[in-house]
Amino acid sequence: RDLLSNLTRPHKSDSRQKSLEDREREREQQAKAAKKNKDKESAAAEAQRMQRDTKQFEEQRNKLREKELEKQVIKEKIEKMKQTEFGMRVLKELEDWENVDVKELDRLEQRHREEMRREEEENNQRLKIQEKKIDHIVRAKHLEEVELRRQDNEA
Amino acid sequence: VDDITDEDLLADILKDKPSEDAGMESVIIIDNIPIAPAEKLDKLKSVVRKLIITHVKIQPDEIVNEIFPVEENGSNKGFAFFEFKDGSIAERTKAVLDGFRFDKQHTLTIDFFTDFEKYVSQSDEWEEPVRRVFKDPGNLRWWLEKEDSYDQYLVICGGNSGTEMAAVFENSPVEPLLLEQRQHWTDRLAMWSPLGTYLATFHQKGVALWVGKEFKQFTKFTQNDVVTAGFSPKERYILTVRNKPEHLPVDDQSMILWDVVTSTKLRSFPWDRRETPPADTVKWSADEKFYALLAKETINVYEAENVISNKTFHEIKEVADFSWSPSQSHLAFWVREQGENVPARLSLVGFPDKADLRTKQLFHVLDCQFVWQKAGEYMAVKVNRYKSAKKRKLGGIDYTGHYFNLEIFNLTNAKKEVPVESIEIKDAIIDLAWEPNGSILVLLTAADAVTSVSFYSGRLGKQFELVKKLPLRHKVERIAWSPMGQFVTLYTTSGSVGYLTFIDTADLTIMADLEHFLLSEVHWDPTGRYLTAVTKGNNKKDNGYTIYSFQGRYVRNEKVDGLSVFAWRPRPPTLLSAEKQKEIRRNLKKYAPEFDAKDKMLLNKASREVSERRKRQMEAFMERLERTRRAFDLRKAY
Amino acid sequence: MRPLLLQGHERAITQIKYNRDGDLLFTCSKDKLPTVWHSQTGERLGTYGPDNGHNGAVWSIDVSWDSKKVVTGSGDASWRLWDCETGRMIRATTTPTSVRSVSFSYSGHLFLYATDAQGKTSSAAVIVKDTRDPSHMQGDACVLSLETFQNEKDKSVNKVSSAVWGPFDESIICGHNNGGLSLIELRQNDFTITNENAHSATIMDIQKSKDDIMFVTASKDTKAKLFDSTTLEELKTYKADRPVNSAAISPIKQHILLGGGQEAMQVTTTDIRQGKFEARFFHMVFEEEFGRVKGHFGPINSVAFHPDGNSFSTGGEDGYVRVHTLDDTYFDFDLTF
Repeated sequence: RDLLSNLTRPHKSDSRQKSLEDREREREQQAKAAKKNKDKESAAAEAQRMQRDTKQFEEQRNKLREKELEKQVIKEKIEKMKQTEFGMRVLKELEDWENVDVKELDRLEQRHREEMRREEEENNQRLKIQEKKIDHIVRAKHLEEVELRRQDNEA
Repeated sequence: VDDITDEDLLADILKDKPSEDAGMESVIIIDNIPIAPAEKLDKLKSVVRKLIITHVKIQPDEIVNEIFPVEENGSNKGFAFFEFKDGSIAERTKAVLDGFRFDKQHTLTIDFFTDFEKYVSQSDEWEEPVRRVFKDPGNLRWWLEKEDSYDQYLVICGGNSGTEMAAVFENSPVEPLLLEQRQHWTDRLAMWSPLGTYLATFHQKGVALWVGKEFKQFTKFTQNDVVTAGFSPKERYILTVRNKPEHLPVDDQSMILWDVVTSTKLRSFPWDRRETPPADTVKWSADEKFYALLAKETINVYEAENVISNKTFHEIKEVADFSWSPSQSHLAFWVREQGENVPARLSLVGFPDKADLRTKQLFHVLDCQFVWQKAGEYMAVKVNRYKSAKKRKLGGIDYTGHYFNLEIFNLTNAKKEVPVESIEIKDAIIDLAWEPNGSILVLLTAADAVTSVSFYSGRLGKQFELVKKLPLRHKVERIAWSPMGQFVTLYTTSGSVGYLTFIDTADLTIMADLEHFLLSEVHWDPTGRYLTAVTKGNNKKDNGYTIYSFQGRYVRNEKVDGLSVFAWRPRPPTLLSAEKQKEIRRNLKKYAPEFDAKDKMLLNKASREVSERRKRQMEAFMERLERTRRAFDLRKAY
Repeated sequence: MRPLLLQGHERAITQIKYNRDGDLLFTCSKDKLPTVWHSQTGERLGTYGPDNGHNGAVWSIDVSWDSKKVVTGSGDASWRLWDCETGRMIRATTTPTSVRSVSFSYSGHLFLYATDAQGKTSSAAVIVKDTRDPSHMQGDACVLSLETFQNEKDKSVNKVSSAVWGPFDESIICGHNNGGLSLIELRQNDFTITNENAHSATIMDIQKSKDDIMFVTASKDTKAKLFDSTTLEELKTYKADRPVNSAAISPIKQHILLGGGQEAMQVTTTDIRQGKFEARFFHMVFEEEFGRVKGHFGPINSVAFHPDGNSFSTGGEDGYVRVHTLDDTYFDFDLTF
């Protein structure tokens, strides 16, 4: 029996070894597959994250750029306003020329337009008064002169 | 109505009628002189002259005037008029030369002009040239006595010679009022005299003057082929200028000076250059006492009172150019530099005492231009200068480093010596002009393709200084000051787009900046209330004129095909004292209600007229339409 | 209100016309392709051609009152009849010379066309065809053919530059290139009324009032005039200071619309404003101008009022058609009297 057992032991051990090895291999393979799966998952997750990040970043950057653009537009508009006298008058009300938001700009522009209209009206009014004055001076002088002309002619 | 006919405008002989004032007895007619072609006429003239001088034994200057009437082709007509210093010479000449055998074919006959006149007056063809009886021409200043101060203007239009229409309008509000309109009123141009009294028209045979409310003919001055004329500042004299005949090397009768009121010929001036002389060849002092001509670098100043003698009152040699003050008998002139050591000279001389009022010497001068303020208080001399000159190998001189100088003569203080200020201008000066009654000098300059306007002022006796320099959006080339000052218009007439910039110099603001297509000329009305922008010339489309207010406000536009002349009627200087004028300005409110009421009434009347006209038109049209409609309906039914 | 800009033609517009309902706008141009548009939206609905299309500039277009047929006349020396809706060509006939003007009668069955004179070989002619008669559609047969428009004095031939139907389809009104007008009665042959001195230069366009009682002419002599459509008596004159190419009468107001401008050759690019390429409104009775509408970059060649009078269109040398809606300020305004 022993012999037999001895005789068969190698066999047994062999088979055992084999089964062990098999098991081991199986386990290894399983682990490998699991790892592979896991790697895949994490890679996908990473990619997703990256994508999200980029998107976020871009959005942020766009927002920033928009804001900057807006700021620039505001700045330009203010610069434009600065060039006129009434524009300056409007801007005097501002404390901080650098930090003006859109709403405020709208309000400013509205005021600017109004000022401009008012200025134009005032100017027209002034010109009208001046025109009348000059006309009246000429006519008054003529009126006063007619008698002198008559005397001059008779003489 | 055509009041002027050819007979009216003088038959040939009358044209050479010598001055009546000189006395007829000193004039003779020499007949049966040989006929010489144009090119030999001068020779013939000198032969006849010599004949008289040697045979009658007189001095050359005792012949006051000689006239050889000529044919169309320039050859003489076989007779001549000679006017001598006095009647005795005429008598001697007749005694010596009557029946003189000039050559084989020609024996001279000599008659006194007075006899000749008697003789021709019997002929049917000849209208006796009666001495003009003084007719009362009526009120010559009638338009200044009209209640309203609407200014008048002259418009001439129509295509070629002969179809002209001349018209005088009154610039009344709402629309211009036509005062007078005549076809063939003029053959060429027409102009107002400087104070507005006369309207001068130009014809083949001379110049006619028209006056009064009905624009009746006042007088005429006979000169064939007259092209232009110039009045003396106070209208007492007129110089008529004719086209220089091609065949004559010297035209003895090129310019004729006349007394306007008596219409007598005072003297004539010869002209030896190819082109016809401009009307301002004879320049007048402001008081009309002196006139001066520049010929061959010499100014000859004459006294108007002694016009018959033709004697030079004063002579200034080596002069490049000169100009009279518009208010005094001051004459400004300049002399070129001689080589490197003798500078150019700017001088101001007072008349009648020929006093040197101020002289300024300058080196490196190319050219000078005199610009007077109208009141004569300031004179600016635009001096075109250079930094260095280099002789060219092939002759001529290269001048480099051009710049301008303004030499401002200040005549505000009559008692002191005339101070001169000097201002250097680095940019090229395009135009400059003084405020007519103030001390503002406007300068148009160009640098790097940008035109700028500069305002200099010397108020309160201080030195002249630049008050403001404004770059302009458009290129402009000319300056036109309102005659009342304060307002100035800058403009350009080159290119199809003309620009008009209206500036108020009280606050140096641009009141209006306008585009005006095909601008040819601008004219301020004499009161400074309106400015007319004129488009004229046969090649230009859209002939006509636009009236703007002094602020550049559009008032109205009139289309005039073939417009050739637009001219405001000038006004003489005011009769109101400076005090009275100030008072009027102070009490302007007193007048306002009356003027406002009048304006309102006029506007109402105008709109009423328009609406009445429209009502009539509408009624007539509807009636007309109704007739058609009835006929129409009838036909439809049928 | 901003005008609708109809872009599609590649060359100068020669004529524009609304149909009776005003929903469609027909345009023809020097680019060979007559086009129909939705007048309200400016949508391009279709073209007549290029299949069986014209081979030259199209000078004139008209649409029948029922909006079923369209007729076009061209410089390729032909007229073409089209199905309005499908754009299919129904008929084409060549003519000896260019066709300048086409017009449907009120009935919609007859149409007329005017051809140019060319030297001495072919005289100017106005020919009337009946669309219902196959022989008219194929051959030379016609209702009427008028071939001589001779000047009484010098016997020169007056080209017909514009032709329309007179009142009740009983006559034809022709405008000539010497500025004369003639009215030919169809039933009484040889009965012609003429107004030799209607204009002093080519009559470019004739358009009738809504009730046919009068018509307005547009001429190169810088004037437009109003005439009685039965007597050719001149009623009113409208002075533009530029050649007038087209004029229309408002169907609802006493207004006349003028379009024109300096000829293209004479206009340099810097002169655009000077050409005065504006549509101009005149009061029909007072002859006073009261409004201008800018926009074109070249002379206006054709103007038309919408049948309801609330909008109008202009076609220009610049190749654009502009549809303008008249706003309240227009309707509120009138010259008072």
